[in-house]
This record gives sequence, structure tokens and C-alpha cells, in this order.
Amino acid sequence: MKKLILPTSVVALLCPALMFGQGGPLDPAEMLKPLSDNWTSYSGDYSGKRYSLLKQVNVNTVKNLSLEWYNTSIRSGCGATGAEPQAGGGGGRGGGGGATAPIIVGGLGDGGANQCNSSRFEGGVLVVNGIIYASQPNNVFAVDAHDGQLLWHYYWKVRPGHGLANRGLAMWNNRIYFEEQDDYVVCLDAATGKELWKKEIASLDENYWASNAPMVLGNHVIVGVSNNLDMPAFLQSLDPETGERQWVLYSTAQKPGDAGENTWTSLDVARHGGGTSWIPGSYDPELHLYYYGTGNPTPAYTQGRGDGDNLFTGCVIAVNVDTGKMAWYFQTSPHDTHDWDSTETPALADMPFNGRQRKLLMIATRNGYFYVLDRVTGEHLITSKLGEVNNYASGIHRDDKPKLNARGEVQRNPNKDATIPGSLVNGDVLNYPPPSFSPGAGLFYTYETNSLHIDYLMEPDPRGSMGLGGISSGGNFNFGTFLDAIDYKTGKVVWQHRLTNGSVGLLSTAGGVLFMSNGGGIEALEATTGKPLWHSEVGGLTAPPETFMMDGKQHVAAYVSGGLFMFVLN
Amino acid sequence: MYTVKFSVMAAASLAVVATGCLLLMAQEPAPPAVSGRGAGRGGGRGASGPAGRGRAAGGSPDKFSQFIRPLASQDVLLRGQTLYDANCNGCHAADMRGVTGKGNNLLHSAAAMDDQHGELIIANLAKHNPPVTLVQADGVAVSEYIHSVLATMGAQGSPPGRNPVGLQLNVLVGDPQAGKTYFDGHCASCHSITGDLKGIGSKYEDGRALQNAWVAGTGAGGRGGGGRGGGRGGTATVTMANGQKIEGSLVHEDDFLVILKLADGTRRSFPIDNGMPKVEVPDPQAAHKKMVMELDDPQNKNMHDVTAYLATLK
Repeated sequence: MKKLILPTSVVALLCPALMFGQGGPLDPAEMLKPLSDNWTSYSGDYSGKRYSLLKQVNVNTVKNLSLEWYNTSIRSGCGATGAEPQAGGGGGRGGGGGATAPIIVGGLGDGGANQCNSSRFEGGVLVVNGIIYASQPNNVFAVDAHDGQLLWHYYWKVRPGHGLANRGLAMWNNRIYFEEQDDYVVCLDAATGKELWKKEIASLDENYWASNAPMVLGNHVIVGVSNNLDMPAFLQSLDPETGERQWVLYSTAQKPGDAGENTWTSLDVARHGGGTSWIPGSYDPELHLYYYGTGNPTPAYTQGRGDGDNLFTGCVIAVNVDTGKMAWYFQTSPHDTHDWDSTETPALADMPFNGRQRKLLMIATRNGYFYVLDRVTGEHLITSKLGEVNNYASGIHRDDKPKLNARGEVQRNPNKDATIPGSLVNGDVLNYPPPSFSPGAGLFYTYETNSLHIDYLMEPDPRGSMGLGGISSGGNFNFGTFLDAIDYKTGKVVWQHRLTNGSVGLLSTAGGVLFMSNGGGIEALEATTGKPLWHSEVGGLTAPPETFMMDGKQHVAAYVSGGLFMFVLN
Repeated sequence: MYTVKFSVMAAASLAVVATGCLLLMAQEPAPPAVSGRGAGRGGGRGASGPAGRGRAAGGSPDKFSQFIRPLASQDVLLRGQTLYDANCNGCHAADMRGVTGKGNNLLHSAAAMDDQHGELIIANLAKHNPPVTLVQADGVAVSEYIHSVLATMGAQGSPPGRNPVGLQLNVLVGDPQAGKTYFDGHCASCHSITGDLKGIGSKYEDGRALQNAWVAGTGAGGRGGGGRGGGRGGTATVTMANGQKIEGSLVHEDDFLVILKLADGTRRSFPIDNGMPKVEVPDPQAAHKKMVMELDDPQNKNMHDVTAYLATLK
């Protein structure tokens, strides 16, 4: 990092980030390293393990974590300039006497569709060279990790469409990549927030929206989109320099002869069969394979797509990032009838398994099953059941085994599909909040939510319904939520820890600590036993905890509905 | 609401007001305003004909162009509907979701969605097989009518109205006698058809509501399934290391601290270290949870039988 010797006022005008003497580009070589000093992509590193090599904060020292700073004034903008929410209340942004950070305005709307004053950070927060890059829908913020000072704010005036979440950012060299809700990918200058280019990645008229966190893999920016009207689902790769499309991979057959076509009643049904990709996957740079999950088939709950497996919805897919071709797939929910996406982030690790070292992929999916695969070939190694009342494919008890097909994929009980008189069936056992895998402990961590409800079929038309239509649910009964620590060699839950609410994602470290959201804030457990070690009641987290190194000290970041909270050892 | 930097501050002493955990645990497309999966969605095409927009009450927050674009005049839409019925119905169906083996679903047609005022739809009609011959103005009218129906699509891609209305979907398919037997064996130890469940069959408007209520444990005025224990306000017992038991109303519980409100109205807090002292919070729903788990069978027969039985208790 170069040091510039200029009058402070001049530097401040040129670039707020430089004024603080940190920031700077992210060397792509840094992105290949295991998670340690920086948090360079959605999961911290490409592996998806959310396992940091940092050890300063460990089972003995974690109790000494102290709050270094917090900032509750970083809010999404709205209106023509993005500045309106900050003008009215709360004391302004970047408090403590700092200069007002610049707002860089982009977008094709008029500002009327933007959500004012949100402070919700959901995921994919980057921390690189002392700068935090965080997002909310249609807003990107650069924040000094030393004191929480806002450095710049990029504000995108979104066109009306579907408002939901934003899963985070990607960085490469001096560039930040971001999906806008109205189907653009925007590339920003990381130092200034200035827009370098924008690229439309789907049609807003066709009801696509974009929330995924991009992933920069080599010379590819991988982006996914969602859709509300059963339009074709796809993953695509863009050139990081220009945004030009490099390839597109559809989740279902789009033309005669495409793979998986025969698992649908017709090509037209397949084309509208869903399988969106809206959560980032994981990447093996040696194999050039990107592993990501696809969403539920549509119509989700009803007839209309035959009795086949409906490929490649509800799958883990390995795609070669250079060609865009599928290397292999594994379907976690063949012919899903419960809206059980497979979009959860896989964890990649090279570990001993049955007497030899293997390149493993581990994933727990919404249907409540944990899978271990060989990520080179897709070979199935383990399928194990999670949950206290997971009955959609087997008996209700934890030890009741489901029927598996020859590929090791779970075969549902069709009698637990939505029916007119109702089916008593489990709800989502888990969802997209990312898991963690600790190679040191040999444990895969996820959460399980235990509930039963009754699904009623409300659309008996043999054509089925569309999207998520056609059913009604009731009779909900909640059996509690737990953190599960799973032995990757057996798939068995080694220990559980009761949670007061669902997970927002997990973080484990070489210091033997597991961080999570619980109670009214952030909590640390001993990774091997689940023993509670430390907590801080900062409010419910909205994004997974993260850790990084700055000025020789390990920091732990908590992203809360009300703002950013930074902890450090003292 | 300011950026605050601390020099040294014990994190455990931080007393920031918790804002509540706003977890968004639903699947990606879930609109935040919807609590169930299907019940009560707004929409519908409007019984009186075209141009029903129906996205207000209970609808999704989607504001895609199909849902917010100005509609054509009633005259144009009625003309379009008449033309649609005459030329398109046979293959694409009155609800535009297609006739299997004949015509595709127009509600997820890219041409229909990208079209603004007929330009793409008319272009498609020009190469339609079998041929459809419409003058320009009629093609525009049909297009505008299609847009008016698209405007009534339900949340998350579901068709207009989301679920059909007016259908009689019979939930009471079980065997009441078998249901009585099951009830007597599994439920009667806690519930009585002459007591808390007296007349339950006439309390609910339909079989679905009845079944939802008794399975969730609300049919007899219960609270439904909670997570663990009674939660705040419930009775809890703390057992100290010396064996002393302290009972009170649970005010707060996490892995590090439990607070009880004692019988004399005072509060007492208990630091928790690795699960000690032990805290017991009896779960008032424990028996019902056990019952719900036992109720499950691969065919849902037990549940349907009990519902059919309870429906007879007028």
C-alpha cells in the first residue's frame, strides 16, 4: 500500500478511504488463500467452510472480546439523491464529527421505489485491507473497519419490481460487484464507489429480480437471478472487466435434446420448471469447478410436471467456470413437492474419509438431509437425516431411514405431498443461512428447525398451479430449533445446542470457537463441545458473524438489524 | 444513532437495546408480508369481467410492470376478451394457463410479459399455427386483455386468484368410528368431548379449520405449539449447587443468564455457567407434542379419522 504525502484536506477531497491510510485493491491471489486476514468473498474464502485460521480469539481468550465501535447510522437511501433519510433524524451519518460521506447515485428509476432508511445487512459483507464493504438492497457502503466511519455510499435508484434481500458483494482488484434488484450487475471502484459499468443480466419485464452475491472466480463473475413467474432459471458468467456475458447455464432443458428434458412432461413445462440460483456456492480453483444449488421446481406443490425427477431443480451442480458446462450433479430433492431448494452453500474440504484423503463436498439442504459427496466426481458418500420430526420421506423419528435411489438421493413419500384432506408433514428443516465446517473439530455445523404443519391441496386441476400457488397450510406445531454439530465421517449429530431462534449463519475458527446468533445477540461456543463461552446482547444478527485481522489484532464483526458492531480482544 | 468508538469496554456490559431478531427464514421468493403459504391471497380477475387488478388486500409486494402498468379502457378490454374467447380459448384456456397438448400457458409467456401494447403479441400471432387473423386494432385489444389478466397474477408466480374459488374440497374423508377409537386411546386422557372439546364440530367453518385447530392444539383454547417450554411468563425452577430450588415466573433466559420474578414480586437473576445452575422450564405443550408425533402415519389416516370424528361433535 502506497503512502501519499498530501495535505489532509486535499486527500479527503480526493478519496475518503485514502485519508485513513487503508483500503486498496484485492489481489486475486489473496482470494485463493484460506480464510484468515481478510474476508474476500461471500463465505470469506472459496471453500464455503466459514472456517478462519485465526487463533488470537480462542476458547481461552474469547471471553475478553470487547466492543471496539458500533455504527447504527448507516441506512439505505431513497429519493432522487439517496440522502433524504439521513437528513431528518438520527443525528446524521458518520457521527463523531466526521465529514459527510459522498453518495454516488446510479440506477434507472426515480428513487420512488427505493426502501428508505433500512439498516439491515444480510450477508456477504467483505472486509479487505481494513475496509468493510457492506450491502443492502440497492445500496453499497464502504466503512472504515477501524472506527466505523462511512467512507462512501453507492445508491441505486431501482425500478419497481420485487423487493427482498441482498445477499452481498464480490471484490476483485479494485472493483466491487453488486446485483441490483432490477436485474443489473454494477461494478464500482472500491476506493471511491464510482460506477465503472453496469450490465443488465435479466429482464425486469419478465419478472426476474436479482439478490445473489456475485462470486469472482478467476476471470469470471458468476451471478444468479430469481423469478416470480416461472420463467427459465439460469446461472451466468460475466467478464469482470467489461460485464460481457461469457456463458449461461440453464437449470432446466430449454431446447429439444437438452439434458434432463425427459424428466418433465414436456419441453415447455421444463422451460418454466424453476430451479433458480440465489445463494452463492463454493469453488475449487484446482478443479475449476463451482458448486452451487438450484431452487425448487415449479409449480412447487401441485401436479403439472409429471412424475419424473424434474432435473436439474433441487440439485447441487458442479459447473466448470471456464466453459459453463455441467461436470456433475446430485439431486437432493428429486421431484420436490415441498419447495425445498438446494440453494444452501456447500462446504469444501480435503479430509480423510474411509481410510484415504478425499476432496469432499458437504451440504445440508432445506429438506433436512446432510450429504457428503466426492467433489471431483459427484460420487455419493453419505446421506443422513436431520430433525426431530422430519417425516416427508420416512417415518417421523430421527432414526427412521428414508428410501434412497441408486444415486443415494432421498425418495419422498408421495402421501406427504399436499392433498385435499391434508398431509401432516414437516416444515423447512433449515434454509440458506450458511453452515460452517471445522476441519480441526471434524464437525459440520448447521441448524435444524423442527415443525409440523398440514399441507392442503387447493388446486386439483390436473394442469397444476403455477409458482408457489395451489396449496394452503395450517395446523403449525413447532418443536424447537437447535444447532447441530455433525460428524462428517458418519453424518451423525454429535451434539446439539438449543437456539432461541433460527440461524443467520455460522463461523468457526482455528481457535476452537464457533460464533453464531443466539439469544439477543452474538454468542460463542466451544466448537468441539458446544459449551457456551461468550456473548454480547447487541440485538439479533442479520448476517453471519465474520472475523478478520487488522493492525495485528483479530476482530469479530456482528451485523445486526440496527447496524454494525465490531469486537476486538483487549 | 452515531458512530461510536470505544477504547476499552467490556462487551458483556454493553446494554444496547436489542432490536429483535428479524430473521427472514422463508425461501428466497417469500414476500415478507405473507405468513402462510397460500391462505387468503388477494387477487382474482374480478367477477364482472376483465380489468380486475386484485392485488391490493393480501397481495404480494411485487410491483413488476405487469402489475402496475395502466390498463386499457374497459371498452378495449371487453373487446379483447370477446376476441380472446372466440379465437384463443380453445387452446390457451379461459384462464390463459393453456390446454394440455394444445396450447401453452400465456401467463408465463415471455412475449406476453415483454409486450407493451401488442407489438410482440401481434408479431407472434402473425406466425401462429393454426393461423389467427386479426386486424391491428383487434390484436391490440387481445394483447391489452392478456395484460389485464397478467396484472392479477398472485404472489410468487401463482395464477390469478392463487387458488380457485368456489370449489368444494372435502376434507372430511376419514372414518369417524376409527377416529373415536384413536381419540379415546390417545387424546381422552387430557381432553373431553363433554368438556373442553364440547361442540367442537360446530365451532369451525370447515373441516380444514377444525383440523388445523386441533392439531395445533388451539381447538380447546390452547396456545398452539411453542418452541421449548412455556417461554417468558411460564413457571421455571432453578436448582442451586446446594440443592436449593427457587421457583418463579421466567422473565429472561439465555445461555448465560436467567431472570425469575419471584412470588413476592421481586426479580432474581442467575448467572449461568455451562448449564449450571440447572434451569427447568416445564413445557405445557409436552403432552400435545407427543400426541402430534404419535399421530403421524405415512397415509395421514389417524389425522383424517380424528378430524372426521370431531366434526360429528356438534
